[in-house]
Amino acid sequence: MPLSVSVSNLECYRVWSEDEDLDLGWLLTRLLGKEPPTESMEAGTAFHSALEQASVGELGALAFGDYRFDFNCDCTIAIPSIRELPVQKMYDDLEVRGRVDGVWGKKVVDYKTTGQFDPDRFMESYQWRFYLDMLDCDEFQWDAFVLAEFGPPKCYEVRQFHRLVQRRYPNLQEDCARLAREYSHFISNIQQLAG
Amino acid sequence: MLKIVKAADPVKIERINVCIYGPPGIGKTTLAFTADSPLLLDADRGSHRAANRKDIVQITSWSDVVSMTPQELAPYKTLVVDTAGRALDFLTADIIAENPKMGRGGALTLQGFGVLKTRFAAWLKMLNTFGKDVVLLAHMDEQRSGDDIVERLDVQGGSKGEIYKSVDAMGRIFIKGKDRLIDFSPRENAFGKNPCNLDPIPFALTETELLKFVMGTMKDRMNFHAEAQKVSTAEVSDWAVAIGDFAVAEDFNSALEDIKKAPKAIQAMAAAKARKLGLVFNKTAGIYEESHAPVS
Repeated sequence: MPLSVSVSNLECYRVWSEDEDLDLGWLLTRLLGKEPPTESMEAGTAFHSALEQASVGELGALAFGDYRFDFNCDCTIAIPSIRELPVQKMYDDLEVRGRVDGVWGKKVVDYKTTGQFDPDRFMESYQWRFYLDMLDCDEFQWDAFVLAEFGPPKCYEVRQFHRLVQRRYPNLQEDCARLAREYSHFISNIQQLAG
Repeated sequence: MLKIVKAADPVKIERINVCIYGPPGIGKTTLAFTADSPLLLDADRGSHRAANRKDIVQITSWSDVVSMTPQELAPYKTLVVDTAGRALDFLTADIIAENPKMGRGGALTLQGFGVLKTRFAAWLKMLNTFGKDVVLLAHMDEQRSGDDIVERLDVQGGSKGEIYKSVDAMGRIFIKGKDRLIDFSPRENAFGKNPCNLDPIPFALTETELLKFVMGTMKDRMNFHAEAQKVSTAEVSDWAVAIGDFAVAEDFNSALEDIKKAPKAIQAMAAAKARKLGLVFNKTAGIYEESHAPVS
């Protein structure tokens, strides 16, 4: 069986490797999927599901399960040709897999829910680089929805909407391959330590 | 209000926003003067150092910035803001002068920062309506990240995000050996936006039209990409509909050669649909078959 990792966990590895304040336990908890989902993660999942089912039109609110999201800002989004696409690519012996929110032609779109828009974090990440590389696309678009709890439990207002675009660059594929190699090496060392 | 629309065709790009950043004295202003018919809004009082300086408006307050009319700007094709960070300082002073509750000790309150971001974004949008290219110059801020130094724009608060959102290209000027280079690619320790896959460009301070050429190339390539995007969107949409109707192995097998030539997203979509239908790919026979194992 080839070694396999999700794009999200590769991003966790990158963040961990660049932040000396994060210990190994922080990373392993995430890689092993032992981190219990937080309320904001649950809300984000519900928001994605609601958006996935939405069709053309104007809406004041979205709902999914017990969650409700009221829009207190203007946002216009286009429906992608393909939604919720599972993708995977081999980087040497490492299978990297992920799920993109949407694809139009050579453009990938990713919906993010967040408590605060932090564009530095988006720009630094490797998620967009991997998705562009895995799908051979040229442009990556984040549609970021800033959520805040509002009123009863599981009710949120969408306070801000931000659109940020990043593009393919000459060494993108090499950068992805390098991070994948570093991760494989890290896992190999961990396995040796664990006997 | 959330408005969900059908994807529109990309529009022809006539003008772009570019951000160039780097340490003081490295040649940002000099490079900016090589843009196409530039007018430099000098908020930093540093334009006199540029040997190739052209037309300049000295900025002494935010009202100097917002009072410019389309008629005054008519002779120019590029507006250069030197620097975006200093222009924001003037905007900060203006916000506090208008409403002292927005400031405390000369600095903005949290609410004041919100106003700064909103007004800066509105001003950038207004510049775009003039139909000019816009070059935002910014100083570089070196931040420590573990053992590394990361290079970021020296622009206050949320306004940095507005710059990231509004610019089509972002390049960093640096010195390597004896060469002065501008690099639009993101690097491990630096941000960038590179809309036309440019390698780092060495340049001398004696260049006369470098930025005009670079920005022209960017527009050409972005329009080329827009055309390719239009074709690709139609192709992906057609495939998405077709694959949506696939129901048995034969549907996949009869389209297999075309799927192999289709965009990666279509290959991924076909593979996902086949898995969902419980089909497996027989690598020896080169076809999809019904799986005998239970579908997970």
